[in-house]
Amino acid sequence: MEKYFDLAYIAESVPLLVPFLKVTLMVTGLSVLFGSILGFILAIMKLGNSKIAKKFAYGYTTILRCTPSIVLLFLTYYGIPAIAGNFGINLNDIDKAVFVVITFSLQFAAAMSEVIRSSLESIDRGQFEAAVSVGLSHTQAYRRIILPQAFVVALPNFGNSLLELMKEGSLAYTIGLIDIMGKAELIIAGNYNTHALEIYLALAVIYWTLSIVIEKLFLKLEKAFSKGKQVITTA
Amino acid sequence: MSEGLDYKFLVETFFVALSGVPITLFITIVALIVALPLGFLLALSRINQIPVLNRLAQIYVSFVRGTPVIIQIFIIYSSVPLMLTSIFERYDVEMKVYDVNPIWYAFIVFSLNTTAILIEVFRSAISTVSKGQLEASYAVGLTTAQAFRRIIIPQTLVVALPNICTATVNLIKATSLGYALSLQEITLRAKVAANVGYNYVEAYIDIFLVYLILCSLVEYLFKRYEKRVSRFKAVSI
Amino acid sequence: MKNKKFLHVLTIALAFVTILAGCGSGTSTSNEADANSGNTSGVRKVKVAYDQASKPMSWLDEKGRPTGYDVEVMKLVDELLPAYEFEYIGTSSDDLLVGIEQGKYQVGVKNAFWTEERTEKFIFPKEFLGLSSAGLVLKKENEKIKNLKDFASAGFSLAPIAANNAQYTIVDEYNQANPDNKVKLKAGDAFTVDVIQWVNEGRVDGGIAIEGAFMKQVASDGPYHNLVDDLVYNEFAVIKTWPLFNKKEQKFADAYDEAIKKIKDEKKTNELSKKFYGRDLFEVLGTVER
Repeated sequence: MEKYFDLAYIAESVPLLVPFLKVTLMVTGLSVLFGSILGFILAIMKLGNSKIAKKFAYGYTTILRCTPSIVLLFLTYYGIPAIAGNFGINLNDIDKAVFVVITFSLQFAAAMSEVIRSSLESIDRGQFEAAVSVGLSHTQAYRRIILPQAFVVALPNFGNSLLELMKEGSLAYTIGLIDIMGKAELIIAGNYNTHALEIYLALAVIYWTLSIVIEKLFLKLEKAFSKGKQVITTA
Repeated sequence: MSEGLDYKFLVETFFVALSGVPITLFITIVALIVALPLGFLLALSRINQIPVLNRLAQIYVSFVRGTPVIIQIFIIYSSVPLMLTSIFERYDVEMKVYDVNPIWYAFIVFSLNTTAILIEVFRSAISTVSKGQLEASYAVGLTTAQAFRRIIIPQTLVVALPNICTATVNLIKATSLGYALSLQEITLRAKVAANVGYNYVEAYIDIFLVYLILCSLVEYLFKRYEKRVSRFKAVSI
Repeated sequence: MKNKKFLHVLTIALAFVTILAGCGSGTSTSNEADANSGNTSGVRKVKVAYDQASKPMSWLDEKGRPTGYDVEVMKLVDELLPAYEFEYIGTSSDDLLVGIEQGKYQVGVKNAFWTEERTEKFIFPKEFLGLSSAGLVLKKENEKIKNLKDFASAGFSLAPIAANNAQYTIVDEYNQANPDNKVKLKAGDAFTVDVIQWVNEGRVDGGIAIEGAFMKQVASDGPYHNLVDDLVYNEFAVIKTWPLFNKKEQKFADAYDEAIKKIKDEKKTNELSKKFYGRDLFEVLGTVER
C-alpha cells in the first residue's frame, strides 16, 4: 500500500483545490436561486385549480426525479443547442457553466416544488380562514400568516436538497467544467493519472467540511426562525 | 446534429440500454437487502444512544451525506483492493483480490451509501412511533422482540415508506455512475453502443427513457404498496 | 389505462422540451451578434478544443495555460494562418467529440487516432498532426509479450479503456480480425484507471498506454519512479494522430493542411515530439501503418 499511497499528495492538493470551490459554490448558488423560483411556481400549479397545470407540474416532477443528473446534464448541454440550432439560433458560444446551472436549476425545481407544496399544505387551512375572517386580504393572509410558517416547515428539506444539489453538481466535470471536481481531474492528469486516491480523499474532505458547515448553518436558521414561529402562535 | 437524429440507432440502442436493466436492478436489490436491516439497527442505536455505535453511525452518516457518490465510488474502488492486499500479505492469505468482479465494488459502494440514507429515514420514522407504544406492548405482556416485530416495525415501515421509495429511486439513478467501475449497466452499455457511430445524443435520450420507465415503475409499485399498507393501518387503529 | 398514462407523459415531455427551447432563444441573441461581427473583420475566430486532462499530449497546466504536443503544434499552425484566430477551449474527452460534431468547436485535438467510424462524423485533414507510440504496460516478468496477439494468447486481462477512446477501437478491431484469439476488452471510464498502478498491483495483467505518458510517470522525477524496474513498456504500434474537424470546416481543414506541411518540413514537429514525448517519433515514420 505504501508503494502507491503518499499522504503528501493530499496536503499538497488541498490548497490547489480550494480556490475552485468558488465555481462550485457559484453553480450551486445560482441553481438554488433559479430552482427555487421555478419550484415555487410549480408548487402553486400543483395546489391551484387548473387541472392541466397540475398535471404538468406533477409530470415534470416525476420526469425530473427519474432522471439521473449525469443524463440530464448531457441532455441539456447537447440537447438545448441542438434544438435551438434547428430554429437557426446559435447557442454554441455560451459558457458551459450556464448549461450546468440550467440543468441543476431544473432538477432543484422538481425537488423544491414538492418541498414547498408539502410545507404549504402542512399549514392548517383554518389559519387562512381565520386570517381572512379578521379582515386580512388573501395576499396579506398568505404573506403574513401562511408563508412565514410554511418557510419554517420547509427549511430542513430545503437544506437537504441544497446539499444534494451541491454533491450532484460534482458531475459537471464530465462536460469539462472546472469546478473543484474538475480541478481534481486536472491535478490527477498533471500527475499522469497517478495518485488519484489521494486527490479524491482531499476532495472528500473538502466536500465533507463544506456539508457540515452548511448543515450547521441550517440548524441555526431553523432555531432562529422557530423562535419567530412561537411568537406568532402565542400572539 | 443538424442532420437530425438517427432514429434507427435510437430504436436499436434503446434495447441495448434496456439490456442493462437487470444489472441495475440486481445492484439495487442487493443494496436494499443489506441496507434495510442495517439501517434500521443503526437507527435504533442512534435513538437509544448506544455509546460507541451511536457516535460511529453519526460520523458515517455525515460522511456519506456530505460527499458526492462519484467520489465515494472512486475512493472505494481505488482503496479497498490496496487495503485488502496488504492485509492478505500480512496474514499470508492466498487470494486474488483483483479477480473480483467490479460488481462487488458496486455492492459495497451502494450498500454503504443506502445504509447511511436509511439510518436517517428510520431514525425520524421510529421517533414518530411514540415511546408509549412500546410500554403498552410490555404492559400486555409482549417481549421486546415481539413488540418490535408486531408493533414498532410495521408502524415504522408505514411512516418510512415514502422516504424509502425516494431512497430507492435515488439509488437506481446513482447506479448510472457505475460506468466508473466498468459496470455493464444501462448507461455504459448505451455509451459503448454510441461509440461505434458517435451517436451520443441518441444514446442519452435512450438512457433517459429507460431510467424514466424504470423509476416510474418503481414509484408506482411503492405507491400501490403504500396504499395497501396504510389501509391496513387504518383498520388496525 | 397504462397507454393513456404513457401518452400523457409523452405530451408533458414534449411540452417540456418546447419550453426549454423557448428559454434558450431568449439568451442567445447577444452571442449571435458577436459571432457576426467577428466575421466582418476578416479574421475568423475558431474554437480549438483540447482534452484538458491528457498530459503530455494536451493539458491545462498549473498556471491555467493550455499546452502539450497537440496544443503546441496547433499554436504553430495558428501563426501561419493569419485569416484565423484560434481560441483554445479545454474540455473533457467526451465533450470534445460531441462538441466538434455539433459545431460547438470547429476543431479538436486529443491525441486522436484515425478510425473508420470517426470519418463519418468528422473531417480528417490530409496531413496528420503527430505521432503517438501505443504500447502495452506489463510486469517485467511478462516482458516477452510484444503485441496484442501475444497478449491475447496468454489469456491476459486488460485494463478498461474508455469507450470513446481510439485505443478501444484498435483493440476492438484486432478482436474482429482475430475472432479466435481475442483480447479481453472492457469498456470503462478513463478517469479512474491508473494503468501503472493496476498492472503493478496485479489488478490487471496489462494495460494500453501512450509511451510519452508512461515515460514521464517512471522518469526520475515522475511519480512512479520507484516502479521503473518492475514494469516494461512494449510498443506495438506507432500511430498517426489527427486533429478532428467539424464536418462543415473543409476550408479550414485545407488551410490547416498547408500550414502543417510547412511546419513538418521545418522539422518543428520533431522538436516538439522530443520535448513532450522524450523521443523523436518522426524517425520511425516509415514503419507507421495507421
